[in-house]
Amino acid sequence: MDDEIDISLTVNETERHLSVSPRLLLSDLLRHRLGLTGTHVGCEQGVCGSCTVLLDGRPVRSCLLFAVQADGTEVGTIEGVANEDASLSTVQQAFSDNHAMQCGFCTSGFVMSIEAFLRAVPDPTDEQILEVLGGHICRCTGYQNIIAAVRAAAQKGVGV
Amino acid sequence: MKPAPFKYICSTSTDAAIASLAEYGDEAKILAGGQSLVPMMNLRLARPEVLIDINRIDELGVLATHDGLRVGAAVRQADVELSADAARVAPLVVEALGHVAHPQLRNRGTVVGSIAHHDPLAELPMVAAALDAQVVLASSRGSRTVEATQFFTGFLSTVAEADEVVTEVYFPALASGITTGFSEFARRRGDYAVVAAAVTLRFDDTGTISDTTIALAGAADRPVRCRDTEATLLGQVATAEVWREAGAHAAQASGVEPPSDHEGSSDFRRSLIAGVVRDALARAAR
Repeated sequence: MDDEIDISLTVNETERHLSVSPRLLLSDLLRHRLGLTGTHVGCEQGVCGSCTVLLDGRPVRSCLLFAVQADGTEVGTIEGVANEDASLSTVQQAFSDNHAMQCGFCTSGFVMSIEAFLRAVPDPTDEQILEVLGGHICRCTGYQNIIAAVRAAAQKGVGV
Repeated sequence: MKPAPFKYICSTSTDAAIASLAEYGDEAKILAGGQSLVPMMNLRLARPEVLIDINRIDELGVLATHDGLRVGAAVRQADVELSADAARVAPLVVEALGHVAHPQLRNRGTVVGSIAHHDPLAELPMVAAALDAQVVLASSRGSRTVEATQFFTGFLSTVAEADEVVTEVYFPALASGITTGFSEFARRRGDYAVVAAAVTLRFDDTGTISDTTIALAGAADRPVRCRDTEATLLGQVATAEVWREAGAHAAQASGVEPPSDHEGSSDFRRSLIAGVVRDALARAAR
C-alpha cells in the first residue's frame, strides 16, 4: 500500500530527484532527506507557522503537504534566502537590526512569509502586515520587533 | 505524530477521481487543500487507506464569475479572496474569506473543501447557507445538485455519500440592489468562530426591507437560517432599533440551540448571536 513514488522537484533552485513514501510530509523530506533543517516543525497542525516554505512562490505549511504533492514544483526554504554572496537578504538584515528573533524557532517561517509578502505588497499597511504575521506564533519576542523589521524591510525595499 | 500509511492516487481528470472513489468507497478520502484533512491525519484522527488527490484536475481549477460565482473543487481560497471579479459578484464570500484561518493556509485551502468538510464553526458553510449556494456532487452514478441548507447534516457530516466528490459550489448572482453583511465573534482573527452571522438585505423603492437572509454559525451543529427572523424584518425600515430587535429575535430563533462548553454557556452564545446579527445587518445597510 505504501509503495514509494519517484518525484522531482526544485529546492532552492536545485533539482532534486527522490523516491518517497506517500505519507512522507514535505517538512520531513526537507529536514531528513535533504538535510535542510532550517524549516522547523512545531505543531504539524498548520497553526504555528514554523514550517512555512514557499511552494511556487506562495507561503504554505510544509507540514500539511505530502512530499509527493510537491512533484514538479519549486520549493523555497530559508536556506535559499540569503544573497548569492552569502550576505543577508533585506528581510534577514532587518530581523537582525531590529532584534526580531530570540530563540529563532519561529524565525524561518516568518521570513519565508515576509519575503513573499513584500514582493507581492511592497508598500503594506499595518493591517496587511498584521494579517500576514497573524499566521505565525512567536513565544519569545512579543512580536513588536518583528513588526518593526517588516516595516524596515518594506522601507528599504526587497526587490524582485 | 505522522500519518498512517496510505495509497496515493493523483487523479488527472474528474472521471478518474470518480472511478477511484467508486473502487475504494469509504476507504478513500479526497485530498484537495488538505488544510483540514492533513492535520487530522497527522494526529491519526483520520486514517484513510487511500488518498485521491484532485489538485491537478484542470477542470476543477476553474473559477467563473460571469454568472454568479462558480468555484471548482481545486480552487484555492486565496485565489477567490484576491479576485476582483469574485468580490464584485459575491462580496459576502470574499469578506468571509478574510476571516478564514490565515493567508498561508488560504494559499492551499479550497472554498469547496471547507464546505465539503463542514466544520460548523467555519465561515464558508454559513455563507453558503446565507446565499442559498448550490453544491454539486459527482459519482459513477451521475451528478446531483444539493442546496446548501440541505447539504449539511451535522458536525463534519454532509449528505455526500462515500463514493461522491463535491466538484463545485455555485453561489447564485445576487439580484440588483442586494447588499451583504458579515460579523464574527472569535477569540482571535483567523480562529474558528464562536458565533458568526452572514446576511443579505434588499430594500424596495419605499426604503423598506423587501428581502433578507440571515445565516448563523455556532448556533447548532450546522449553519442555521433564521427564517422566522427574516420574516419579521420584511416591511421594516433600516434603524438601529430594528437591527437590535432582529438580533434579539435571532438569538431565540427556531433551530438556534447553541452548545455550552469551555468557550461559554449556551446563554452567552445567544447574547453573542444577538450581537453579530445586529452588527451584520447594520453593515449590510451601510
